[in-house]
Amino acid sequence: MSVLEAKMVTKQYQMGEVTVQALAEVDFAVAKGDFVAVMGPSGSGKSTLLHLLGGLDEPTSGEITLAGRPISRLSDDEVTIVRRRKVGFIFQFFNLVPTLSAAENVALPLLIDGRNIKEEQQKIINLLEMVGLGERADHKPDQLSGGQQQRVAIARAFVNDPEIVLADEPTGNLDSKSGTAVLNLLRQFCRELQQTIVMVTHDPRAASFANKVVFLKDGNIIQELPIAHNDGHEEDIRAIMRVMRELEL
Amino acid sequence: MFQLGFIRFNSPLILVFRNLWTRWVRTLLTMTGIIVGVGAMVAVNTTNKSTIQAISSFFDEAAGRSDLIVETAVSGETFATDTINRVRRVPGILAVAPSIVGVTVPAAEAAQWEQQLSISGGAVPGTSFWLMGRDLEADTAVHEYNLSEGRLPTAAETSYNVVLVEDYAADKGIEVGEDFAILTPGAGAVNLRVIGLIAKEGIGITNDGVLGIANLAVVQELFNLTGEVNQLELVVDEDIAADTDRLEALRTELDDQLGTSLTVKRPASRGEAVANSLGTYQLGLNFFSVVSLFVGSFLIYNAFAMTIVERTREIGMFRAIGMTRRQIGVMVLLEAGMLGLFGSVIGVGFGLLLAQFLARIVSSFSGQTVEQVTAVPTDLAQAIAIGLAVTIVAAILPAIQAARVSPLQALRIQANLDEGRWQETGLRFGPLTIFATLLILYQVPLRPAVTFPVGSNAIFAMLLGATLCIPILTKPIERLLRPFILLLFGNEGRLGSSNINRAQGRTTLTVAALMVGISMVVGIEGMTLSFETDIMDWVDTALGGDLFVRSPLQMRPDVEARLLALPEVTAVTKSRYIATRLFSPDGEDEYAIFNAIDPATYLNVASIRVQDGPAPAELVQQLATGDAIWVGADVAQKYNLHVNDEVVLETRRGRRPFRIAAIVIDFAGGETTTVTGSWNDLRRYFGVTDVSTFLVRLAPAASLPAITDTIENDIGRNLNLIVESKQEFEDKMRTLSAQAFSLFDVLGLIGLVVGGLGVINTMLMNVLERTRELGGLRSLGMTRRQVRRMILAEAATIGVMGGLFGVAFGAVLADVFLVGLRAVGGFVLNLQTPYTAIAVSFVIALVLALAAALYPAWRASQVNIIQAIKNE
Repeated sequence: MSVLEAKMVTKQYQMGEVTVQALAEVDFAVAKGDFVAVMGPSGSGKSTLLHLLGGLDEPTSGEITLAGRPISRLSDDEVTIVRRRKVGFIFQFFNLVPTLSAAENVALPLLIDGRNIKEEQQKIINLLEMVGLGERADHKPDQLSGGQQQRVAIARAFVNDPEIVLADEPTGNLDSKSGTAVLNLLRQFCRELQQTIVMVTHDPRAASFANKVVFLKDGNIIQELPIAHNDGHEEDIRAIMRVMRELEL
Repeated sequence: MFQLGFIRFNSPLILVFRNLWTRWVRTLLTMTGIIVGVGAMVAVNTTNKSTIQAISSFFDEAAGRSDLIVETAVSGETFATDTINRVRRVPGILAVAPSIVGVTVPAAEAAQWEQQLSISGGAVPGTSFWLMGRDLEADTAVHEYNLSEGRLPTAAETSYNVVLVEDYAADKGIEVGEDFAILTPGAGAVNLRVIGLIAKEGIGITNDGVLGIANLAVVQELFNLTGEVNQLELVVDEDIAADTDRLEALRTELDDQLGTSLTVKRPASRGEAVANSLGTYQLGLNFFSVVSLFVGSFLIYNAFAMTIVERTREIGMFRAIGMTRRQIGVMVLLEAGMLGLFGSVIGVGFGLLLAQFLARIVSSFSGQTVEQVTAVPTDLAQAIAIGLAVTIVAAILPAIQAARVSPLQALRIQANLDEGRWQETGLRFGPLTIFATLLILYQVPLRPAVTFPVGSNAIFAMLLGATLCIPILTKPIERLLRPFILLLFGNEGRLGSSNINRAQGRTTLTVAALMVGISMVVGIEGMTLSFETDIMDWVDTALGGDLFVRSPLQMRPDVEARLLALPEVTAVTKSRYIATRLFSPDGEDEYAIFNAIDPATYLNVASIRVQDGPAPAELVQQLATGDAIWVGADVAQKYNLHVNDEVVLETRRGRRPFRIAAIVIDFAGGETTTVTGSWNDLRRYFGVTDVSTFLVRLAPAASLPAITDTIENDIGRNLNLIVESKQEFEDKMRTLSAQAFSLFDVLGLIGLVVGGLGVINTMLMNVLERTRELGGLRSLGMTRRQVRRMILAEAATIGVMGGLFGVAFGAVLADVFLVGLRAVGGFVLNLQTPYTAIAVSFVIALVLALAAALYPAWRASQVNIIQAIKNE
């Protein structure tokens, strides 16, 4: 059963007089509990795909279904509500609100949804402890390292029990140690809480934490690679790089 | 363990609070815009109302317990005492207290006496000494005398005994038991024995306490007015006094019974004339205070628009994680609401403080001491509501802009708002708005009732139009300025100068804030200069004469012959001002001054600037024929009068119609309605033959000090003549006008301060937003000094632009003010270009912009290169 499905999705941009085809009739599906990495060179359409899947942008044609609802046909307000309740986002630059504490940043989606934060307090504490920041809940973002900020962002992405979490280069702005910690966390959420994650990355090492890697080139999905996780990361990374070489990515 | 318990965070309020708190500099800047805007409005409104209140309570207090007052319809005249009995017979009247006032000066001061004018054209209270004669027996029902020393005269005594106000006595060093000499029309200097002192309260505040109270018969005798009184103060039955309708019925009944030569008033209504004479002035102040609020709203808009730019990525994230456009918009408006509320409350406090200061200025030129500044709570609540509304309205566009932020902005390294629309919008609406408003202001005839609101709104629309035109002209002006900036700031200047084209919206708003501030200054100075120039021109040509001869008491007409007999004197003409009441064809009536001139000699000394009507020679001929007057353009405008229309004036012989022979440019009487008629009509209808002023023309070679000495000490020895040269009179007028316009200057200054804050805001924002770029430039080898120069060059360009737009718009504004003054007050003025103000304003704009950019420039030079290029 697919949590998220894109059928024949096309996206075109108008740049002056030139029409740029960012995605060309792409079919894409993610099953519950999947951790999918999307890879491809700059301009391959991976970010565009992520935007469309999260309802941040509208496809030129085709249909996207999230948890059974065709989001490409919804109004702006309706799709916003879907994002609020069904989607979690993790950004490359963390995007925490600098004026709020770590706990308050995590609580933000609940606040926006008009929920009673007091009743959700335990959940927020649990999430922060899960990402290893139980002791830093009242720290402001500028008092946290980059890795810690991204872990707060991960807790924020999962606080609404979303159907799917979309991550845009979540390790792109982190050193390798912090990056590994973040990826391990995502894997942990996926494995233990049966969460579904789609992650855009250009880093084969990051992609090796996923269950499946989808390769994009010139707006088309050109190959999918399941990751077995049998022989450790190094073997998986080598497999991903091999495919990339074959596809000239 | 973190605390969430204290956060009631089921609403976005927490985000609002935190945002305001964290960005406290911006919060303060925005709040300053609201505070000064609301403050100016409250200050002006409170000052105006307190002035009116002071005028009305002055008359109330001086009236004591009296409920009604009987006076002559021609104000300041006398009537026979037998009226007292007629009034006493009217049912409901319990007590009648007659009084008479002799206006004079202490004999010791006669030589130094000088006429003090107020903005309303009348004399400043306290300039002359009032000897008030009262029936002290009848008075017990009306006034309480708070005697601090000595005793009051008894009703029967006929000795020249007087009671003075203690402050005045202390000021002059007079004690009880001493003699106090005053001038009298018949007997020259007369000694009065001071037998008591009263406090400066109740009746003691009359004429600002420059007052003596004597027995009625004594004053009648000293001023040759036996059997005459000025005024009757009446106490009516308590039940009638408590019922407004019954009191009004009694007033009307009495008014009818006493005929047209006498009028019955309520004490408070006597303040009306004074209050009315300040009307146009107060309207002008109100207008500028609203402009201040308007400028404030620019700063608010500016600050909010910038907050949105600064937070674009954050807002994008909010949208990405599920905030709807509406929620975003509401969040911005909530922020505005909170700032508006706090800012307005503080603004009210600031306004009340400012009002204390303004009230002092008003007291100095209006002739009315405003001791207590009192604010009406509903007015303050209204000011808070207006401040709140203006803030929210100013934040609407930024809120819409925020709501439009795409969630995709959250994913970008550096988010940017689309600013390309400014130029397009400017091109589409800017010139059109200006054209439409100019059409409304200059071409559409408006009814007087709507002139002020429509005119003010048109000016605001024009300001908006000018703002919209800024983005169209930014590029060409920047190109024109570039060589100069290059010269001043070198290559960094080139970078800085071109930077202003990057964030068009921000540049536009900053230039606009400066423009409005500068244009207020230029507009106000233009108006002041035009006013002054025209008045001086009028004094020079129309009023004519080289000397004005006056006396504390009215003069006999034969002084004219004695003045003419002096070899240095080539011509003399006489004039007499007398208070009356004017009834226009529309049935309106108002306190007015009848200015009588001598048609036979007037043109020998003065000239007439006729706006509509016959040539001056023919005009004075028509006045000589009788029953004709000329009126100033202001009066004609006020009552919609034309040549050959008739107005009715209250005279001693009842109401008489007068034909309007001409409409002239005339500033006589200031804001008090003044009509000019002939000497014969004065004698015929008002029974007056004495003279207020002689206008004297001297031979070209005459020595001013010598002739002054001759007139004052030779001819005038017994007549107490005082000579004032035209120069002295002009200086007096200039001081008065400077005092009156100083209030406008305060408002102009507020405009400038807000403009300066706008520049700080913009430059800081520019620096913050370009931290990465600045880091890049530093890494390429730009020194800290070069960075500072670049930012200052940018500010200088903005300053010059603000100056250019401000001066251009200020010139238009000055002209519009003059058109407005004509429409509202009837003053016909010619626009004078305030070259000094323009040059000074231009320098102010430049210096203000540079000063405002000092801190941002310093901040920019301190950017940490590594941090800056790592992330934004």
